[in-house]
Amino acid sequence: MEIELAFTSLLAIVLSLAIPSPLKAEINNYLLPSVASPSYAHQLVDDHCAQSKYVLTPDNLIIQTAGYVGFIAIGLGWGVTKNSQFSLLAGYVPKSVAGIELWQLSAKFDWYVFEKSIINMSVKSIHWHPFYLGLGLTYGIHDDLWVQLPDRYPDEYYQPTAFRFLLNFGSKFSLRHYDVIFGYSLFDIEVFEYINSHEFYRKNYSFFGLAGIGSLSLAIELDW
Amino acid sequence: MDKWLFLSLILILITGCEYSPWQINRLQCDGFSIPEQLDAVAEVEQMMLGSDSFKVGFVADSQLHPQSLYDAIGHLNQQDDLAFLFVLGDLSEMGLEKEVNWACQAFKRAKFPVLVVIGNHDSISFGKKIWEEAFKLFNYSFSFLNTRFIVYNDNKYEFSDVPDHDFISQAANLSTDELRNHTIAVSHIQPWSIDDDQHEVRDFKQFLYDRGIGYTIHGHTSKFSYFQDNVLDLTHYIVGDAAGGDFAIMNVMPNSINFKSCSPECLPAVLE
Repeated sequence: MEIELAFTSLLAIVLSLAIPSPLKAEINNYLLPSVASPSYAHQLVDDHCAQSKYVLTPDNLIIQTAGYVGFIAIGLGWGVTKNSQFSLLAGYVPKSVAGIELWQLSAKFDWYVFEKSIINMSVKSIHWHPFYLGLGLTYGIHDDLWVQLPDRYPDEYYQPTAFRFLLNFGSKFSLRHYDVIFGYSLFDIEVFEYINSHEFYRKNYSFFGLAGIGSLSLAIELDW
Repeated sequence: MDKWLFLSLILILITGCEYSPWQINRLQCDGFSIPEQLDAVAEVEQMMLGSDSFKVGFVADSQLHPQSLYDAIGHLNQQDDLAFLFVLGDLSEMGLEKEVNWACQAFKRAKFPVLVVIGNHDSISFGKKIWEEAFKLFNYSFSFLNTRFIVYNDNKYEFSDVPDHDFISQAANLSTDELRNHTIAVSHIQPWSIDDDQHEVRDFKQFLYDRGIGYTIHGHTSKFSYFQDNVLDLTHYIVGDAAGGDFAIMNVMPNSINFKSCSPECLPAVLE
């Protein structure tokens, strides 16, 4: 039941992104009458037709390890703006590396603050996005985790155990069609407790207490 | 040079990487298993042989506030004659390994043994597996200077067939030639019923009383309470939650027991 809910939600998110650009132009016409002159709307349609590209088409393939999304997670990314990306990932956690075996589905939205060219030549160039900030949600698929409280409990006895919100930071290096991303992620309880008990973490863990929370991650993106 | 940099990066990634919020194989609670802490309690008892009174500390419901647990232990460290500390459950909010690790980190501050009691929040997600790995036992009992402590699991939503009546009965039995001043039961939740059946609660209290238990000590309700059952000579003490800065001290003497409720100033608890 929960797997069906997860995949239905995933499909809904993907389909919502598949709104063809001509329809988006019509929506903009309605919402932004000041710019929605017929010539502007038609220009949007023409631009879209010239590109022959639907929003559904992902911009890159992602492979990530750690960062709370799985031992190995594979997914797709869609550029939302020039400096932001939405990603969906399916991750696997084997029992041998985590003590339990489970699958995870994750959604992330990352915003890259700015870009800097490190090497810029006609043959190859390396671009660096020094810092990105992102939010995510990861869903653990396992019989011991739940979205909906089991019937035996009174209402609102516990929060859902199958979801964890994520806060992501990192840096990205881009070389032609490849991106390498070094990240650091926190899940919701870590953020809450670090803010609430920051003195405890600073006294007991190194790097201003951050060694007691969070996870590093490494991802590779193949741009299409 | 590039190879060393790459290798260092890989090593940092391996050691600093967590694959899932729900992973359970990086526990950092070495030395805090209940059997190990009971050994430490036995050593304290040896050092205190000849004493006829002792003090025990209590902290409860420290989830989401490791600072408060850490501070409570700091305050209790200032008690020169504290024999050991009970942590009365809910070390974690969501049964996650990281939360348990933070609690164990706070335990390292203690100058006395720390005995943990499983709470309902500790039992969700993969919390039961984590508990078994870190602390080993859901039920246990021991004697300290002629007082018997019986620690039992009463998280009924999360476990079937709890509390374990057979375990409690066996633990409460008086051995031949044993001198016993008090029998004290400890659990996360005071006697309760899933269906709010007061007959069930009454029957369980009678069961405890019939086995010679005179005091029960609990957490879970997040506020101090000290009351006697209105029928039986059975006294209940509830410890407030650590998040609010609460902890308690029990003073055990041969013929009486009293409590101090601390926030963090300690005041004598008065029967309601």
